Amino acid sequence: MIPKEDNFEQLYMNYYSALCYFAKGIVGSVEEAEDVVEDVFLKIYQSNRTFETTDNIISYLYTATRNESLTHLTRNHRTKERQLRYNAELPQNEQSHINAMIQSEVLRAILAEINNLPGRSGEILKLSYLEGLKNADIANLLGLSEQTVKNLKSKGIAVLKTKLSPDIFMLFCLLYKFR
Amino acid sequence: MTAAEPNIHRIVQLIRAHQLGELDNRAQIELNEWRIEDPANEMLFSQLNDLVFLNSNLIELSKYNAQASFEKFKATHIEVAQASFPKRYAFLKWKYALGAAAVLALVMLSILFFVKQDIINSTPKVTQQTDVAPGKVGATLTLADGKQIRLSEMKNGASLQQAGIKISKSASGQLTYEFAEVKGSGSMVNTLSTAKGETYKVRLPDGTLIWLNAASSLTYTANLLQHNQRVVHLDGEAYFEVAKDQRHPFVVVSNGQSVKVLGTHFNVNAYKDEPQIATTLLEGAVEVSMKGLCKRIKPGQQVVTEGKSLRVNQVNVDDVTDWKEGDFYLNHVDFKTAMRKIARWYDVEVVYDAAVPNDLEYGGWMSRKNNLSTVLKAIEGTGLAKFKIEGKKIYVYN
Repeated sequence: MIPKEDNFEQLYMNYYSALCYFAKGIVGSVEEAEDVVEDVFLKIYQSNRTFETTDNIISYLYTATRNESLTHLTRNHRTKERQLRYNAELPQNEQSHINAMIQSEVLRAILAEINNLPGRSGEILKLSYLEGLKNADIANLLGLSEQTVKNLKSKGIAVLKTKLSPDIFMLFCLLYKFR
Repeated sequence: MTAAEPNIHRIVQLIRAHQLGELDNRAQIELNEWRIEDPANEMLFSQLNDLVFLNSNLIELSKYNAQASFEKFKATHIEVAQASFPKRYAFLKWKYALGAAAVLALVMLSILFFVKQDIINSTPKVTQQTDVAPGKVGATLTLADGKQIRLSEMKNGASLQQAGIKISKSASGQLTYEFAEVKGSGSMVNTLSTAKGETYKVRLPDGTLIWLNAASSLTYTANLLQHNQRVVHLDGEAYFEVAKDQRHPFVVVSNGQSVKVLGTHFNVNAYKDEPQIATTLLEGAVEVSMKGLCKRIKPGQQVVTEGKSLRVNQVNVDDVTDWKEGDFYLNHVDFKTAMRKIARWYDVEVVYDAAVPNDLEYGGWMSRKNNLSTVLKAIEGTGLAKFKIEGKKIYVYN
């Protein structure tokens, strides 16, 4: 049996953002979405529940988040307006819930990979684009010379170019002004 | 969860594989079955493959800080801190990891969605009064007698006959010319024209296919022939796939230039508000002449009129025929040229503030199916310029 703590922490770190994104679709605000998801995780933590497969956990998380979001909507008077809008715009059926899950999961998968960039070039690209750090700062942080940072960065981008289809690489250059 | 429900994780896996171009036939079929099941599925699928949609939603997703939240959670709810939690959390190996090379490809695709802190904090504001929908398929056919037919209004499957030539709109909406009888004067002049915001595809009697871009017009006799040559007059931009007919060379005339071809695929850009005419060859061979000058080019080459001379360039053909595939391909394109492409497709006018420099360069690719504000937001994200849409005008400033 996997120790409860590890499992829970991993679950939290891996799914928190995607569940907030999913919840925001229902409750309408970032802050409320975060409250909802924190409540969901608290309930899981306190329930001592175990799951058989990862699939089950994920479905459970999303369903619990959806239920919690709807509860928050009815509870909170300020969000009555949003509830009306939600009811009007979205068909409350299983199908749209499933598709909303699919959407969140696809985005989560992509973003997760960003956090898992391998190698030093990857680390530097991450610091450069994710954190917006300048080469000098990266050099300080990693204990490298600025030239080394530049070289590793170029290497990373060169590899990137060979791995992406030309139009996607183009969009990357467009959006991040990389030359 | 009932047994009948589609396996969500399988669908997610399939969509990711599609994004990476790694679907095998079986998986492709599975994915298509899901897509067809419900229009909502198809809509979701196309959103998840739209880079603009993905980009903005990934930015939204990355706003949430799991680590900070967990620290808070830990402090509030987890009383006994046993062994200190390791600072760097080992992430679960994804079920969707598809092998080293695939993971690398996945990672590379994801780098696309890196988020700069300043982009999160200052989302570009395209102030708008109304948004502008993208252009559509449509054209107007003007017959020899002056009668005008709006082709988007002509029903699929409908046809009309004029002097031995039958003009019909196929079930798929394509305009086709056929010879209904051999006799009859095929010399009646027709003009096919598109307004700003329209494109159209037509099939001529000889089998030649022509894609007409926005704000363009094509004039030709119904049987195409003039002095044993197949001749069309073009004002604007069109892409040609000319049917082979060695006895009758195909000639495209625009603004004093003529392009002579023998069964080829090429693009002519001859907008009056562009400084040059550019003829780009994809397949086959063409000869471009103007005022006694003549240049023959090979695939991948382009002839550009330069004042009174013709210049041959090597080009990236995707750059030139983007519009035909439904995209704007604006890599290393001069900013104002890019804006002209946008103006024609959305049927708007661009007004530049005096402070906007002439020499901005813009690089990238965008689907023409997006609303105008989406396209402009993406450009604003690069910091090149800021936009304001007011009705049919785009104001550009720095």
